[in-house]
Amino acid sequence: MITRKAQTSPEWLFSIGTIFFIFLFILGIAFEKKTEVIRTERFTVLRNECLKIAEAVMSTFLGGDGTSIQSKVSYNVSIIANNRLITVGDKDAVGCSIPINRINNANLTKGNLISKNIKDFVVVSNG
Amino acid sequence: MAKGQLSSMDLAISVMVFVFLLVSIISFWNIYVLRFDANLNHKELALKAVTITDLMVENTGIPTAWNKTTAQVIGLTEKDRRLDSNKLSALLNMSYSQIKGYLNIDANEFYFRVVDMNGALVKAQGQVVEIGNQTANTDFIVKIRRFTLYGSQKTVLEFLLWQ
Repeated sequence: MITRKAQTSPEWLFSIGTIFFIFLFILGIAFEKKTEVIRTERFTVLRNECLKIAEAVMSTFLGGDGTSIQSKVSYNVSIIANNRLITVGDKDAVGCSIPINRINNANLTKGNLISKNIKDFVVVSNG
Repeated sequence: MAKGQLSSMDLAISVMVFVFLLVSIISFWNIYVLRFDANLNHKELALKAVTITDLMVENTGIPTAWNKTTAQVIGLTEKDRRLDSNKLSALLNMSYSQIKGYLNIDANEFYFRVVDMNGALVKAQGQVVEIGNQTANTDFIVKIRRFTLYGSQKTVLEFLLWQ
């Protein structure tokens, strides 16, 4: 009886140890994947917001002089006319390009935006 | 002894099955992430191509009578969806990289042409309206076709964009 107990005990220790390490490994992977999902979700949201603004800017430009479009954004927006770039967000900002540079440079806060076409030049401001 | 050995064998098999399942799940996850990224990039590329063709067929360009030295915005029409031969000719006189710069697609490659309804290339001031090389070595490509008028002729403006 004593011999049998002694033989079983290391197996138990080994199995519990193995299970514990596997558990730690899975926990690590789960944590990493959770971080990845959060990062991707944020990127997707910011990118959609950026594309929405780019679309509004292009529609305003193509609409011709006098066109005005209102939109709403949930993040801060920067427009860099020379680089034809719109960026959305502060930390980990996401950018998207537009094919025109006839737009004002702007740093806009979240909320309502209004883009106006004034003689084929798009002016975007908080409205 | 026999019971103890059986228990170890059970554990070994169960651990192997578990590790196999875990590796499978991680692999599927990674494949899904790659597909998600590809889908995201493809949609962005498509949106970019649509925006560029919008600009080409719905805008007269800036200045209205632009040429390769004065162009600020490349629009190819004299009015909505009616192509202007002078602007097509001006575009043909630009270099491939110059056009990419104007369209803000430096990281992409493109192919552009205007064909009639039978698929034959049209000419602008004696030059065939075709820019770039159609043989893209990628599956990641977007093709946009826009119906236009060129003089009295019905035409199709085709624009291919890839990374």
